[in-house]
Amino acid sequence: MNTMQSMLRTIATAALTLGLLSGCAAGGDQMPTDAAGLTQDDVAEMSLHQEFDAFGDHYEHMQRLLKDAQLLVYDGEWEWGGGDDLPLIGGDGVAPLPGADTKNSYYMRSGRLWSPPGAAGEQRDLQPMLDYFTDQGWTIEQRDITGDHELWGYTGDGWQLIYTAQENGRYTLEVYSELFWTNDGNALSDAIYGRSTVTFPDRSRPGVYPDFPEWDDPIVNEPKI
Amino acid sequence: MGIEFDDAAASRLVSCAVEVALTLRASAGPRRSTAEAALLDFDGAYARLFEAARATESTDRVRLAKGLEALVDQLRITQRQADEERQRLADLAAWRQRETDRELVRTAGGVPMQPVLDWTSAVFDPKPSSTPRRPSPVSATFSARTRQRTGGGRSGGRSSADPTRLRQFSATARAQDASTEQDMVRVRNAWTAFTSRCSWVPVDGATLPGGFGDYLAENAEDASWTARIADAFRAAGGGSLADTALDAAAASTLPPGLQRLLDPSLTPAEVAAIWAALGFTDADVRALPLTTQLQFAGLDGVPAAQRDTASRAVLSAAVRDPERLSRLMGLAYTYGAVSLDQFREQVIALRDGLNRADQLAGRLKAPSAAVAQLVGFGVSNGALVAAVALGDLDTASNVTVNVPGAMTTLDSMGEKVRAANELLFAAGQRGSAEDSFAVVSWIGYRAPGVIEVPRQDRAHAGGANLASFLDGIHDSRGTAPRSVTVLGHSYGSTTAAEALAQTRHRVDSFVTYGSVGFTDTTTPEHLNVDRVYATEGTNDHTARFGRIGRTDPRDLPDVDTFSAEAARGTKAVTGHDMYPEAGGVGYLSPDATSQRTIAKIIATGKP
Repeated sequence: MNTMQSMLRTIATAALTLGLLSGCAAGGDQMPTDAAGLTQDDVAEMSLHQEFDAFGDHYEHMQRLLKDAQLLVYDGEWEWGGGDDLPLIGGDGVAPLPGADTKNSYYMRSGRLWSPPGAAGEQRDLQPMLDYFTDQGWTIEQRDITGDHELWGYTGDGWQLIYTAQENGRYTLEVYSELFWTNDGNALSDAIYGRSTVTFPDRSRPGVYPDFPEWDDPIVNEPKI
Repeated sequence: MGIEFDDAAASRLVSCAVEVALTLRASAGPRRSTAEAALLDFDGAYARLFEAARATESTDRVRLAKGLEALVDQLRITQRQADEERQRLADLAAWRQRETDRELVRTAGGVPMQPVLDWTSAVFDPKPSSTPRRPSPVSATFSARTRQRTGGGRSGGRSSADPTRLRQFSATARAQDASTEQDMVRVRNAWTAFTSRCSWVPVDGATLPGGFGDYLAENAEDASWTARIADAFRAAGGGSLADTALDAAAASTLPPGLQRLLDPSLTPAEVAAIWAALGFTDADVRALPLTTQLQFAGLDGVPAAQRDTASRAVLSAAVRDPERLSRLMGLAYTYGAVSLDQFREQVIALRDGLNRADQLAGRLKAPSAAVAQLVGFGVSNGALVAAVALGDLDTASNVTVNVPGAMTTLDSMGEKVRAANELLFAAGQRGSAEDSFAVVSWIGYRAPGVIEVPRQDRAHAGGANLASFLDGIHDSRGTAPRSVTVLGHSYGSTTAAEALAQTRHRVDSFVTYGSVGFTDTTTPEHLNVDRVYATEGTNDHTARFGRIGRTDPRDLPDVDTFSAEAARGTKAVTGHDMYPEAGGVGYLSPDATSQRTIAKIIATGKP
């Protein structure tokens, strides 16, 4: 799925990020950084095209986080919680980002579900995922809520995973990003949606997900009004 | 002394009438061929109406030509009669001259010659007739017949047509009629000249010049009618349309079948029943005139898909021409209504929010439908109101309606929709595999300003709107939703309580967050709801000030409370907001404890 293009884009974004970060370090800037380590000023220098490509990288990263965690418990088909290729409402997120509001920031999230045979939301069912989170060195939280058991893992680099064993036998894996700065969340959403031709699957095996569109793809979805 | 008859005027009228009659007869071929082309792929009652109108036009055109030809015949007779009368008058004048001469001879010849002279003049120069010749009266009569162009709004059938062919007919007919109109002007001018310069000729009937105009007016209405039908089919995107929808689209007034729907005393159930009988499709709604779409956009009991079609058409028109729509909605004449500038801003905000909803809805997973619906757009108490659903409100098994509080306008629809999207995702993760969801961001009432919060009048008015909306969801659907949840934020909870004291259909769960309280008549025992839940954060320092004179739902028996404080993995609300625009944690922020609990109530009916 466009692996080469994705890799090149990752390298370009990493170089940009590194350059911007070194600039900040040299200037001793203490401005708050987002889930990608960028300040709002850094992102202000980025074009919509660059934000689009950076979003694509976040999308790939989110899918990898999901895949690695999914494979720990089940390598068969998982239900999708919905399409996950658009920036979501900002302002508040997994970690605070001072100055963020609903227009200048966004977050990302995705979710998958599976139903282990005979499962009924036992706390012990969280153990494989707990071990995995522990192995990754992530910060962990656990809580019980009216019969369901939730396990939270904070990656320390801008992402959070939640694995829930529900008493209805449906086990969910959700991944949330911390906030990312944007110059215009609506414009970014329009840019992605406009180029998107995918139909999101109802179910898929871990690691199988639609390609993120390319900037040079034609605009195929115009606003209805 | 002559007669009042201008040969030139009569001749001009004759030649003009001959030419126009010929032209009218000659136009039969092209007119018939364009009509026949329009009738290709034109089926149903409207095709029959079109065919009948065409036949009437054709018959009238022939009758008009015959009327002109009959006029020509009569004019030719009167011309001959005028010639004869002029001749008679000339002969009489000449005879009188001769008689005068003879009188001189008689006077000179004396009495003995008189009998001889009388006899010879009587034999050889008789006196011409002194009786004036009466001309035959002229009659120019023709009256155009009116043509039927509506099924009366009750036919129940459907029609289909190729809008391009109808457009072509309309354009060709208009061009022909423009030329015929020049002919009519010539005939009328010639007729006026004839009647003013040929007063010797009596006129028995003169309906033709007026009837000619009526014929052309009928033709013009035919062309406009056909164009409106073409527009309706084009707006509908092809396919067939209900004859009742075409009645509304093609007529300048709403047909009786549709007027019944707009009776304000109808309940949503009655609206739903009448609507179902109409058998309208989305295409039919697209084909309706804008004023009718505006009325249907606000009609509870109309299915969400078709309400969406009507509401989007109105919103689209408001974006294009805000001034016109503002007037059409009566805002210019309503005391305290939104200004034109506010109208513009809110319309754009609603459009952007709806476009956002379309994008997000495309990512909803089955069995939830990947659609967003604008289920209402209009005016209430001078405020612009609207509701946006994520998911299909007509089919979702699990329906949630979120009611915002004070100070809310359509400006915030984008935030409301995005918060609803996260709520829907969270509920979807917690529901069963069979559940399909729809979450409505309902801004369907004039929310109070800050100083109005202690008063109940906005809640009364809004509650009536919301009760109608909630009942309309049930009444417009084929099958009832498995679960309905109403969420009320701040003053929205007060409004929702008023609504739930009036609804006919029972609601499963009512959740208040940051409530400004219930009145004594809206405590849970008065509400048509199975379960009432309430939450409020300790950092919410606003809700309590709004509760003056009202009761905190958390203090009421039969209300289950849940936490809005921090828990492992989730956060406490940091203020009163549903979703803070400028950072902080709101009740529906995705990492708020309250949001996750509300999502679980939506999905399972319990926290």
